[in-house]
Amino acid sequence: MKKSFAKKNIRKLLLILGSCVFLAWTLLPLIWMFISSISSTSHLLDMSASWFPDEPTWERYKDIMFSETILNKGTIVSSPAAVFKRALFNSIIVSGITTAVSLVVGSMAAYAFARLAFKFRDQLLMLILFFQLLPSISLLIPLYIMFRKMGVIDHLICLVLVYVSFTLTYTIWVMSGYFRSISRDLEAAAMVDGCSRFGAYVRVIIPVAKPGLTAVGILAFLMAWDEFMYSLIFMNSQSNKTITVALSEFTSKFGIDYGMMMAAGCIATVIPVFISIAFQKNITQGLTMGAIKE
Amino acid sequence: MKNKRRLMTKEARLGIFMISPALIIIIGLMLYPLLYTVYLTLVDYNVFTGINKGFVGVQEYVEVFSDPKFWNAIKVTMYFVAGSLLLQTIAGFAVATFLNIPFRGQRILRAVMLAPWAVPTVVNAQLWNWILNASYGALNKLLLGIGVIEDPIVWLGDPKLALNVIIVADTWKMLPLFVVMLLAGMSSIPPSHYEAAKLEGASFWQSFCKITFPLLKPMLLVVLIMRTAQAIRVFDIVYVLTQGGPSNSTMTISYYTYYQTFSALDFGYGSTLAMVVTLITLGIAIIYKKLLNADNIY
Repeated sequence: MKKSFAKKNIRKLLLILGSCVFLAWTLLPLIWMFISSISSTSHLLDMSASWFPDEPTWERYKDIMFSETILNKGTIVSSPAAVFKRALFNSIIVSGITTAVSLVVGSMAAYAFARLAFKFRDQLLMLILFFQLLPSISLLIPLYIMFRKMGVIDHLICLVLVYVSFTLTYTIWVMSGYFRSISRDLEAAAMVDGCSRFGAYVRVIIPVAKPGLTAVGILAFLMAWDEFMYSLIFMNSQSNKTITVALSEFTSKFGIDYGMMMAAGCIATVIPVFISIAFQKNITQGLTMGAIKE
Repeated sequence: MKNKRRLMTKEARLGIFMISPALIIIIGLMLYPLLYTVYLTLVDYNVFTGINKGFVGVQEYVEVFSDPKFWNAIKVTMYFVAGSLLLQTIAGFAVATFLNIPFRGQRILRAVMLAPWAVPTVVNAQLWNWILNASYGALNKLLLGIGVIEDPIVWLGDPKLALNVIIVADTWKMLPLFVVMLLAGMSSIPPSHYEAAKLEGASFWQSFCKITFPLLKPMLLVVLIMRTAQAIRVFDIVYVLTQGGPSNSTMTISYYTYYQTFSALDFGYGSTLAMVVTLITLGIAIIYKKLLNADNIY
């Protein structure tokens, strides 16, 4: 009796200890990013200063949110904060459009692959699987040359196009598996009720497939938000950069203001972290769907 | 019969209609560029002057394979892939096993667990850049404060340390992916397996080796395929933290390709490097797939 009591306590202690270690590893870097963003620069550069600032400053966040963007030939001349503001805006536009296009185009194709019989269907699906594994660097050079020739380099449209192509293969692959798991009776019933095949897809199948679409949509958004290499190469004007590139170039352009960088980092992180916690179930589902069907 | 045939063509027509937007995008932005890369590796073409001196055959490939910097990049990349995957697999199993124990607070831990994974790679890199800063960084401040070290450590300036530090930063972001997938796999193992093992008097370690690990193997392989493909192309974090330095100790193959193409402006050489990366990635994917099929699960 006594022994099991001791054992229970040890177990409890280990659980608490494990939780603390895990929480520290997961959260301390994020907390430090936030604390740095509200500490004054002189406080940050003083190694003997306290960990938490005596007077937190919200200036940097205000700067990023309300700074005016003054452009001169594609270069933002007003302030570093304005660069971040513009870059955030660009990232939201690019990621949003990418997600929407990839869901519409991708789910349509996925449905055809899952349910409709046509020539070369299986070969085409294998081609798509092949492209899903392609490293992004393999297409960087030819796409750069192509976009330069077409004169769209440095326009957000070329980022949207590239991101769509990468998220599309994933969307098709996952969603075709998802559509196959939906009962055929559903469309049959809709078609008896007078729907065309395409009408049945839009009115009946899409609503049923909503959880799957949410999952792949979120992953597409996060992928576009996170992308760096293409944005770095394709976007030359400062006013067209996305948040990841703006953050990477920060030190070289304005000297080192780590506090400002951390503030922008916090803002760039809030959106995806919020999404990941709010839609955790969908994300897990999306990741495992992609995995199991492979 | 005739009627049925017409129906089939109607279905096929709808099928073609529904895949055509996707197909156009994939052919235009993936297939064509890929073939274009192959072409670029075989000709002597200057992108900026537009002068094309015609086919040079496999000359660029010979050059790549006799380039010691290429082999260094391969070595660095392999070290990174092996190191980060090993660390993440071990830690992933440890954390997933821990989070699979029912206890109060488990749900909160599971909820915050994903946060690092959602942090954009560049933010992750800049965050570690700041934490590891030799003069003002939090890590040195902490270690100096508790007296573990006497002089600040130059984490990213030491060729022996830099790549390992990058592996740790990568692990901070990518560990949640392993944990999520392994937890999903664990939840599909029926509890009766463990109850039976317990009745037989199996220890925790025994039931892990005999039940958990074998049943999670297919899931683990899937995660490893995903992660290998990602780790081989590691770029963002190297770009921000070390730019391939110090003394090429973090010059991964993607970064080397980028450097040759857009800093040295040798597009032909860059394309050839990119092609080699592509072939390596596909080769590894095929090996993993064979392993998966050998497991006969999917």
